[in-house]
This record gives sequence, C-alpha cells and structure tokens, in this order.
Amino acid sequence: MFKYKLPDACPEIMKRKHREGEYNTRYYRITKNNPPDKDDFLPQWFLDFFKKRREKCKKDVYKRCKMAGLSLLKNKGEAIRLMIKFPALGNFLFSGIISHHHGLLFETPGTEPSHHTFYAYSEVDEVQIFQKREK
Amino acid sequence: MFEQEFILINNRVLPCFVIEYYDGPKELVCLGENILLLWRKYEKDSEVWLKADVKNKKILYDYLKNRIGILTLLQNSSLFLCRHSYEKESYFEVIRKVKYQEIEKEFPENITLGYNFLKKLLEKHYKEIKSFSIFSSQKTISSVSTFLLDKLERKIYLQKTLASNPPKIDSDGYTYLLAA
Repeated sequence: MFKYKLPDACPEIMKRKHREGEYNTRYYRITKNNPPDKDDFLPQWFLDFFKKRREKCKKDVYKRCKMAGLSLLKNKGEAIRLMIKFPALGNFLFSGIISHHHGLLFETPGTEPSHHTFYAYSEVDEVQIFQKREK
Repeated sequence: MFEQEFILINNRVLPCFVIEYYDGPKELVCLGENILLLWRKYEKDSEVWLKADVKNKKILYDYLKNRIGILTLLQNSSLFLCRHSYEKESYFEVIRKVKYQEIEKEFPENITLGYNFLKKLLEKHYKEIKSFSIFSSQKTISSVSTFLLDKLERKIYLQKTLASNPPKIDSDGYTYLLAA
C-alpha cells in the first residue's frame, strides 16, 4: 500500500499522536535538483548512508516512524527560512497539491508550525506532484 | 510537542531540545549549557554540525524568543565544527574550532528562528502541570498516565542503551542524565 516498507507500528503511531493534514492543499518541498528527481523525495530513513543510524534507533518507534516520512511544509515562508539557514538542504523550492490518493499526511508541528509528515502510497510519483517551482 | 535528544559531546551527556526539524533534527538547543547545534551537511559517514557555545544566556534566550538572528548569536559564541557519526546516534565529536568569519558567508541573511521557542516550551509545561493539578478528579488519568509512561520508557531506554554501550562521561553528566 505504501511506497516504502515502513517500520513496524508505522504509520499507526502517527495516527495516535497527530491529526491528519489537510488534503487538496499546496505543500512545499526543498529540493537539490531542478527539476526535482526521485532522490529529492526519498525519506531520510531509506537513505543508504543512514543504514547505520537506522539500526541504532530501532527501539524508538515514534522517531523511526517520523524519519520514514517525508518532511513537507504548508507555509512557503517557513520553507524559504529553512533554505537560508540550512543551504545544504537544497537550493530549490517546489510545490504541489497533495490529495487523499497520494498518501497519508500528518500535521507534525513540533518546531516549524507548518511541518507535515507524508507517507506516499505505492505507484505515486512525487516528481509529478511537485512540479511548480517556487524559488 | 518538542522532541528531546540526549547527546554526548566532550564526554558529557546533555539533554537538548530539537528546535528545527526537516528530514530529521536540524537544530538543537541544550539550555543548561548555553549550547546551540546547527546541522550543516550530510557526508558519507557522518553529518557535519556547527556547535555554538553562546557567551551568555541573554543572547541565547533572545534568539530562542525570535528577537535576534542566527548571525548575531554566532557572533557572540565560540564556534566549533562537529562530526555526528551515523554509527553513534547521540555522539558529537568536536573536529576543530572555527572563526565567525569562516561561517558568516554560509548564511546569506541574519535569519531568525521563526517562532518563540521559549514561550511554546513554557506553555507546554504549564499544560502538564495543570493536568497534574486536576489528577485527583480522574478526568485526565489517561493523559497523565501516558505522560508518565513516555517519560519512564524514555529513561529506561536510555539506561539500557548506556548499560550496553557505556559512554565515556564524567560523573556529573551521568547524574544529570539519570535525573532527567
């Protein structure tokens, strides 16, 4: 059902802790590539170089579930602020409309008030969703 | 609301809050130590972070209250580049001291935190205290239990981790962790 094999108890733990995000709404994603490619939408948990850290946080169910989701922002200003503060995240900003058909979306506003965590369904191509260049 | 991380730096265990998160923690603050940690980049075996030992609490608090920008904070700090290994989740290794002038060019603007962290933190604690005060009414027994269990589980997990892989820390650091 989901594009990536999620860790155990995920996304159930997110359902317990967070409200679902608003669908049919525009979200922003910082990318390294222009146009974006699939690597720009790979959640941290699944990055090759994260393998060692994946093994370390096996017990922290919530943390690993959050890492297995993709960070999206609902507020463009917040995305730009992050790009300035952390240039290594990427130099480009793309946006797209997320609908129910694309995956599960949760409001996760721990720090950035508009931060969301997204779990894409299989067959969903994020590159096709995030086509509008914003910066 | 705010995730807590326990990090090992200079052989000390420090409790820190995650204050910026995007594809993982990107900025941490260790309030008791006046330390701010900023993610800089991913490398093959580790992440590179910038550690700012802020000269005084007022500067740090002004930054956390969204009143001053990151460059102002860095200008008033001793700065160090750190390696955060993927293999050792909590361990930050100081690589070298850096001058403000080396770092300044990495930030095109004196960008702020974007929100008042201290206010949010106090609000969160206020709610927790409030929930304890009406504990006797049993209206919020479930939420209080969850809160206590979360804390307990976190503590047990950390103790187990430390027991199986004891870090080189001084007695103060260890006491601090157990008391957290």
